[in-house]
Amino acid sequence: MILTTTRSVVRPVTPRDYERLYEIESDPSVGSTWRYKHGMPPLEEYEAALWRQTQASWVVVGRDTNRINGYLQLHDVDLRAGHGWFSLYAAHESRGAGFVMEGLMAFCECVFNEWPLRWIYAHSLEQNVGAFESGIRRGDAVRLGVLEERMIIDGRPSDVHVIGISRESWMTGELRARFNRLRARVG
Amino acid sequence: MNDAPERATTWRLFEPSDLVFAYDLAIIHGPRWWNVTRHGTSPEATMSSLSSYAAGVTILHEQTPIGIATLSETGSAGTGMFEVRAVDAPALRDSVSDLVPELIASVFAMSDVRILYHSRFDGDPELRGRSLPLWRDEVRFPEYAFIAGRYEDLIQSALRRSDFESSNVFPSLGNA
Repeated sequence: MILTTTRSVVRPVTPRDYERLYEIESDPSVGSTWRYKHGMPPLEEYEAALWRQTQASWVVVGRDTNRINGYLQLHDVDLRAGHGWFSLYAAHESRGAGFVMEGLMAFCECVFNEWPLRWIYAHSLEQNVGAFESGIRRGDAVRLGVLEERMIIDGRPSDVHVIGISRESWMTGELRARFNRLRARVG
Repeated sequence: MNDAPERATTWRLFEPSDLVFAYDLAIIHGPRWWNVTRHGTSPEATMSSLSSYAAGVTILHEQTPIGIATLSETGSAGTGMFEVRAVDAPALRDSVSDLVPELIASVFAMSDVRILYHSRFDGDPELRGRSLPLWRDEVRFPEYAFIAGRYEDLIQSALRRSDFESSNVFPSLGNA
């Protein structure tokens, strides 16, 4: 599924994207995740690492620059239970510009239209959780809990927030309606 | 000469010969042992899941296996997932839960785990015994999985080493 928004094209990842994704993930400020237990793999091993336990990935491409601003992954899908996990990564220079949240809305549209999932969940480090706060306040996302001091980041304990987005809240929410109205204008 | 009476319920490290008991236990639990049976209960899938645990012990009552406790998902963050399962008999379940604080003490004594996690569905039997007051519920996944005809929530709880060591609930366990 490919979605076009006002500023971005959100499309599935292809091998031609790997170099840029690797560049984004190699940024030290992105590296403090628990994705790679033993650090960033070498580029030649990146494809296997990128797709490990991952069922689908989408890149967020800026329409003005044709450059990948970030990407989102659906992973650890459990079709029996009807849920999966997601991760999102933003290029350093794109953070705060709204590209990733726009990408997350497109991601929800893709996932809930293509996968029979009831819930998608994400782990968010304390320093990143601000990106979800407005969605939580509006009821588009739910904070399911906080794993206190779950991670050690730069030698210090850091909380991990568990965020959930339900199919019901996305499919019936005003956020989706507004997102698709704006998309319709793009044509 | 040791006059101390032998305990009826004991534990030992998991042995390869315990796999058959573990498999039977998984079959009894079905989806309640989600990590092991979520892909179904074929012997191959079940055995493969059981073999992935980092460490495990078998709990015995009068030399007969009645439960299993496992430690998994250990990593550089100093955390681990503690699971405990018992046969479906109330009296033997109580014997298993009586032993759990001792098992937890052993985990903290023999590893550098900072935080132990434990997940349970709403309808699961409570097996944490006297350690229960030390656990804090941190995450609740609503309607996580379909069990016994309805969706049940999954609750993830945490037990910190510091809370365990400073607890006066089990003062004798700190040196286990």
